[in-house]
This record gives sequence, structure tokens and C-alpha cells, in this order.
Amino acid sequence: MKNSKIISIYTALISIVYIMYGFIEVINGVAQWYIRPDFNLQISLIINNYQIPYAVADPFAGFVLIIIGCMMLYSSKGLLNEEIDGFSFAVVSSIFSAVLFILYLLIMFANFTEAHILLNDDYKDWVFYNDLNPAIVLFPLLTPLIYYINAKKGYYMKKEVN
Amino acid sequence: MRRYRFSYGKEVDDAIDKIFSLLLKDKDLVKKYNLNWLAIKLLEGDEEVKERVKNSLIYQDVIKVVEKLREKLEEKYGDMDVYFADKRYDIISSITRYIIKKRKEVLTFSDILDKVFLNKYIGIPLFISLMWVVFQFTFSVAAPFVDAIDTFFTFLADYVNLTIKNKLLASLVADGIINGVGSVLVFVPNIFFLFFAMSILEDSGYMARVAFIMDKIMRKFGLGGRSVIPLLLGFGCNVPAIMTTRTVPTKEDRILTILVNPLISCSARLPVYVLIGGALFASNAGNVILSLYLLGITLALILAYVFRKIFFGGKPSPLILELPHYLVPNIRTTILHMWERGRMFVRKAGTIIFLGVVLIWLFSHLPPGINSVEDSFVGIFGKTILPIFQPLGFNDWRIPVSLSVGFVAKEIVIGSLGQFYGATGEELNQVMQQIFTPASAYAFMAFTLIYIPCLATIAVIKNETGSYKWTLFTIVYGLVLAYFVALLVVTIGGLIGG
Repeated sequence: MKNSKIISIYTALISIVYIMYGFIEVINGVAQWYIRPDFNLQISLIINNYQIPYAVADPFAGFVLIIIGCMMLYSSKGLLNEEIDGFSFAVVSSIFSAVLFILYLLIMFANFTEAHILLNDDYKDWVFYNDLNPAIVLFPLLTPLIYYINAKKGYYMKKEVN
Repeated sequence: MRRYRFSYGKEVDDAIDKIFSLLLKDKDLVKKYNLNWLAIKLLEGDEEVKERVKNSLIYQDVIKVVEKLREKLEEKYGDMDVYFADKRYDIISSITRYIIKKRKEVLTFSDILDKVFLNKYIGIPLFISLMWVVFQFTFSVAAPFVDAIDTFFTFLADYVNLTIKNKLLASLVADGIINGVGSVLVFVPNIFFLFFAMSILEDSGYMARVAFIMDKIMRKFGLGGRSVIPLLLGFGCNVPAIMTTRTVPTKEDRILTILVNPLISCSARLPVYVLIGGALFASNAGNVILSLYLLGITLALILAYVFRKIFFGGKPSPLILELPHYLVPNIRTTILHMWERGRMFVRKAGTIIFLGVVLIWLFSHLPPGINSVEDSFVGIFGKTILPIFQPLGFNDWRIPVSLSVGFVAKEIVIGSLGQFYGATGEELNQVMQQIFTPASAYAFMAFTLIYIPCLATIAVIKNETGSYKWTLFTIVYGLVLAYFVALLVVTIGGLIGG
């Protein structure tokens, strides 16, 4: 019970960060497209003069982060009471975060190829830090939740029968 | 007469009472049946019960009242049979809550995932999010492969121009074949990446869930649950998708599904979106492409609703689907699926697209002795039809020509543009930036999405509907709708400064 309380609070906190960055990306996207092209709202750390994580201006990407955040937030309540719904939402939000994390890693690799292998002029200013967006930075923070899911799977899940 | 009954909500209870009091007039019915049950079944529209009371003297009066009440209630609550089933489950769970002591719920992995993927609130936003992931993967991750192929074709065209001395032959090979076919082939990675991602979704068992979550929405728009699969297949190619409509049970549902299927964006249109989206919308190209797919789905639903009201009437057939377990996709099978679908695109490039670009090259060099392509047959044709397209922001005669030849196969739109401007890949991107504004570019992509389906699709529509009338109708409505939507896009785009 104590563990479920801790993981529930932790998941709720992470979910709020996901939702916050989701909204920042939506706001940046809408503002840059329609209001001011130089609008750039960021909540980040400055490392080597780069903002990390860097919230991109993309309403769709923001929407996806909000969806993940909402699923996690919903799961936190269920995890507290050890309900199957909470576990289900925690599983799917973790899978989805992993999918997004892998997607952005692949995009980072594609950008690296353009910049350093194909020597594409459009990518001459590209540096690794540019692609460290919230989906990449936040995913490792889900490790405790993923560990908890793995530890609890025997409690909530039975084997699939064909 | 004593009546034991549950409440189905005030309005429905009143309707049941009304029918009940009418049924009381027939003594035979009173003797034979529980009238409360009979009233509910008639309101549900149970055909078997209707058959049983058909010989009653009051049948005509009762059925008139029942139909009227049913129509009124369905406006508010949807299908009455579904409404009654839901209410019964509510009643059952309200009872079981007190009498059953639950053990801890233990589910399979598939059940756990389905709790979220089939959730009525989050199911559709999750589907849209997954599609966004698919298009980001298709556009952004495939980009270096596209650029590498583009570099190869640019090099090849330059090499041919330098080595072949005969100017006309060099023009045929470099401008006609290499630029024409090459500008289509550079998008092979995008096509393969799209099919790879879609295969993962299919092999994992998720696509069957999409059919399930879309069913409720589609029924509201007059499309039956069985129409979901053909529409989803349309993302690959409209030809097999239309053939799959044979599984749709009623003729009306089938024709309706065929009519709206060309609005589902097939993979042949993807190169157009990738080229124009990449050139005009840069880092937002993935979002723009996703928006076009969503536009296609939205238009298909709206038109299905309109066509159902105008031509068919009635109700769509229900969806009964056994959901498979979720599986981790086998990489070998996924690659095999990707290859099977993707190679069709490559084969097309070697046959119909090749033939198409050679013919375009020929007509852009005829009649003999012309000084520029503008004086050729193609140029004359383009300039003649240009005024029709100018309100859409298409101010270059080459654009309507490329759309016209796209009737044969949508990929030729890109092939012909590559040939007309003598460029592929990055160079072609730069040309697109000069001839389009963001609004007219989006209008062009929307037009390509909606207008006449390709020749093969038209042939299969004729075969499957067995009617020239429906085939012609599909062509005409597609053209009119494409023009209207493109006009709307440039008008709104103009107002917001696009």
C-alpha cells in the first residue's frame, strides 16, 4: 500500500510535467504559426548554452504529450487504490511514452545522418542538443513507474489463452 | 392488471405506457402475453414480436403509434434496441453491486490494453496520436533516405546530359525518364516507411480495435460497421479496398462504402504530400500530411451521411468483430508485409509511370519544330485549362496539366512536375516554393486528395457497382468537391495571410 501511494504521487507529478510541456508545445505552435513567428515559450535548463528540454512549436506533438499526461494522471488515482483501471492506464501511457521516445531518437538519428553523413546544407547548424525535446528527456523519468508495472504484473495479469 | 417493471427513463416509460394502454384493447393479446414485455419489444423494433401480433385487429393502430414514438425517442437517444440493452445492463449492474462480492480483477495483457484503447473517451484521441506518430516516422525518419536517392538521380541526370551527345535523346533520358520517374522514386522510402508502420499496427492487433472504436462514429454518419475495414484498407490502395466491400452485407451499404472510399488517402497520393508539404511547410510537413489524411476521413464521413440521406435511406448494418489478442509484431513478417505492398509502388514506377512520363515528354516536344515547351501540345492544353484553376491559386499552366495526367495514376502528378521543371528532390522543392503559397500548396494537396480517383480505381468501381451511373457520379462529385474544398482553402488561407 505504501509503495502504491508513492508511485501514485510520483506518476501524478510526472503526468503534470507531460501535460505542461504538451501545452507549451501547443501554445508555441499556434503562436508561431498565427501570431508571432519569434514567440518561444520554454521552461528548461541551460546546458552548454542550449535549452534542455527544448519544447518544439508543434500543436500535434503537444497534443500527444497532453494525451500521455492525461492517461498518467488518470492512472495515478487507480494506482493509489490498486485498481485494474489505474494499472491499465499506467501500462498504456508507459508504452506510448516509449513509442514517442523511440520515434524522437530515430528522428535524431535521421538528423545526424543528414548533417554528418549526407552533409545536407539545411542541417549544417544541427547539434545533438536541438533534438532533446520533452518526450526524450521525460521518458527516463518513467523508470520507477515501469519498474512498478513490471513488479506488479503478476498481481494484475494472467496468461493469455488462445 | 398488476405490472412489475423497471424504469427505462421517464420519456421511455411514458411511451411504454401509451403502447400498453393500446394493447389492452385486444383481449386475445391480454390473455396470451405480458403486455408490458410486448410494448417494450414493439418499441425496440423486434421483428419477431411484430410478426406475432400482426393478426391482431388493433395491429395497424398500434404500429402507427409505436413508429411515431420510436422515431421521436431515437432522435434523442439513438437506436432504441441499443438504448434498451444499455438500460438493462445498467439495471443488472445496479443489482449485482449489492449481491455480488467481487474478487480482485485479474485480466490478460490484451484485456488490460483494451481497457484503454477501446475506452470511449480516450480511444479516438489515442488513434489520432498513433497516426501522428506514423506520419512523423514516414516523413522525418525517412528523410535521409529520400535525400540520398535524390542525390543519386541528380547525379544520374547530369551524367546522362554530359555523355549522350544527341540532344533530343539526352533530353528524353535525362528530363523525361530520369527526372520523371526519379522524382517519383525518391519517395520510395516514405512509402516503405508508411507501410512498415501500418504493418506493425496491423500485426499487433491494433487495427482491429480501430475498426471497433470507429464503428460508433461511422454509424452516426450512416456507414455500417462492416465498412470500416474497406475504408482502412483504402490507406494502402483504393483498388483492393473497394474489392473488399464485397464483405459488406447490404447493397446500399456496399455502394455507399464504394462511393466514399476514394476520399481515403491512398499511398499513391503520399509523394504529392511529401513533396509539397516538405517544400512549403518544412518542419511541420508531418502535421500537414496528417491533416490531409484526417481531411479525407472527415469528408468521407460527411458525404456518407449526405449520400445515405439522399440516395439510400435505412440504417447501416451492425459490426460483429472478434478482436484478436495483441501480439508483439514479428519483424520478419512486418518487413514481408511492407515489401509486398511497397513493391507495387516500385512496379508501378517501372510500368505505368514510366509510360506516362515518356508520353508527357513526347507531347511536350510535339508538334515538331517548336522552340519552347509552352508551344507544345501539353503547353497549349495547360494554358487552355489554366483559367479554370487560377481561382485556386494555381497560376502556372504546368499545375493543371500535372493534375490532368494524375488521372492515370496519382504518382504521375509528381513525375510530370519533375519533368516540366527538369528537377527532382531538393531542386524541385525550391521550384515548388516559388510557384505555390502555403495556402495554394495546401489547396493543391487537398485537390489531389479529393479529385478523380485513378484509372484503376475507376475500373474497379465500375466492376463492383456494375453501374456506369455510380462510376460517373464518383468522378463528377470528386471533381466538384475537390474544386470547392481547394477554393475554400485558398479563400480562408488568403484571409489569414497564407
